[in-house]
Amino acid sequence: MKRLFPAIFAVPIGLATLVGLLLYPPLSQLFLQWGGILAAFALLMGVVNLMRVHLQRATQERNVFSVALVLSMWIVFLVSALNPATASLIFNTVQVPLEAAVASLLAFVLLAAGFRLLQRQRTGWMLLFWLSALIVLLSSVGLPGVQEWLVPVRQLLDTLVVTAGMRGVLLGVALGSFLGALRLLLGIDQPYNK
Amino acid sequence: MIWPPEIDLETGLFIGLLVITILLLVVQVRRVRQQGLQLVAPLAFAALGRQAAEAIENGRQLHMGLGRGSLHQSHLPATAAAQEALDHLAQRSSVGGVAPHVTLGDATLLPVAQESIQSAYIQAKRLTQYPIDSAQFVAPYTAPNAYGVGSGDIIRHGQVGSSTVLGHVGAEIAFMGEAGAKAGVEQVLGSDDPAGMAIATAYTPYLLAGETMLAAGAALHKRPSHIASLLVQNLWRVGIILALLVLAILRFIQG
Repeated sequence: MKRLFPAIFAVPIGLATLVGLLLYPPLSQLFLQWGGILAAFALLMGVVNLMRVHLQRATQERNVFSVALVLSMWIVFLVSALNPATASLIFNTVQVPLEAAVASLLAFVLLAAGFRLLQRQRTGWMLLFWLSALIVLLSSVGLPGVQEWLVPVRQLLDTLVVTAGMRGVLLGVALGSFLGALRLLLGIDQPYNK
Repeated sequence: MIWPPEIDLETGLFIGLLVITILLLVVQVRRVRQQGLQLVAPLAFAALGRQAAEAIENGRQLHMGLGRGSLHQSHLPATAAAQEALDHLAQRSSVGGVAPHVTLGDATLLPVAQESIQSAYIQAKRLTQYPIDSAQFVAPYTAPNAYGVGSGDIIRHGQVGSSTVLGHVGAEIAFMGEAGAKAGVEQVLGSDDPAGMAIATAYTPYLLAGETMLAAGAALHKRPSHIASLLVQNLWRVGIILALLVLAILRFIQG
C-alpha cells in the first residue's frame, strides 16, 4: 500500500493533464499551475541548500568565494526587501555582465576541446571535423577572395550535413522522450516511488 | 465545457498514435518476457558501474551532474533517465559508504536527487551515514553557464575520482568536461541537447548521446518494459523512415 499510494495520485493527475491538454485546456492549466507553485517552493529549498553548503564551506574550509557568495546573497536579499527597484539594478549591472563574460569564455573552452580531441584521436573523422570547423570560421570572418567560394560550401554543409544529422538525432530523442513520457504517465516508471 | 469536444485533425492523429503506441508497448513487453530478450548496453553504462566500484576502493567521490531539465518542463524524460543512472550509482556506492556528489541546474531536481541517495542509504542499511549535503543546487536553469562553471569547480577542486553528467545539458557541458579533463578523471557524458552531445564528444569516449542516454533504464536495470519501449521506438523509426521515403518519391514523381 505504501508503494501504491504515490501512484494513486500521480498516474490519474498525469493522465488528466494529458487529456486536458488535448480536449479541455483549462483543466491542464490548473494542474500545471499547481506544479508551478510546487516548483517555486523547490526553488526556495534550493536557495536554502545553496546557503547551507556555502556557509559550511565558508566556516569550515575558510573558502573566500563561499564567503563572498553568502554575503552577496544576503545583501541582495536585504536590498530587494527594502527597495525592489534596486534588485533589478543589481541584476543588470552585476549578474548580466558576469553571465555574458562566462558565455564568451565558452568559445575558448570549445577551442581547447577541439585541440584536446585532436591530441586524443587522430582519425579521418577528426580531420573532417577540423576541416568543417575551419570552413565555418573562415566563411564567417569575411576575407576577400576566399569568401566567394567558401560561403556556398558552408551553406551546402549547413543544409545537407548539419540539418540531416540534427534531424536524425532529434528524431531519436523525440521517440525516446515520447516513450519515456508514456511510461511515466502509465505508471510503468515511478521515479517518485522508491 | 462542450461535450463531445471538437477534435481537430492534429489532436485526432496524436490520440491515434498514442493508442497504437500503448498497444505496441503491451505486445512488446509480452514478447520480451516470453523470449527473455536482453539489451547489449553501450560501454558507457559499464563505466558507470566501474566508477562506483573504484570510488569505494579509492575513497574518492563520484560527481554526478543531473543537468538542468526541470521537472515541470518538457525535458522530464531526459531527467528521468539521468535519475536512473543516479539510482544505479547511489545504490552501488552507498554499500561502501560513498555518496555521489550531485550537482543540479534546477531546484526541482533537489528533492529527486536527495531521495535517490537517501533511499540507496536506506537499502544499504547505512541511513545514519547519509550525507544530507551530497546533492547541491548550483544555479537555476536560466543560468546554464553558471551551472557549468559551478559544477566544473566541484570536479576540479573536490576529491572527485570520476564524473558523470547526464540529463538536459547544453553547451555548458564544456565547462564540466574541461574540468574533468584537467583533473584527469574518467567521464561519462550524455545529453538530449544536440550542442551538448557534440561538445561531449571532445571529452570522453563514454558518450551517451540522445536516445542512448534515454535508454538508461533498459541498460542499467534491465526491466522488460524499458527494453520493450526500445523495440517500439525502433518500429516507429522504421515507420517514419518509410513514410519519409514514400513522401519524397511521391514529391519527385509529381515534380
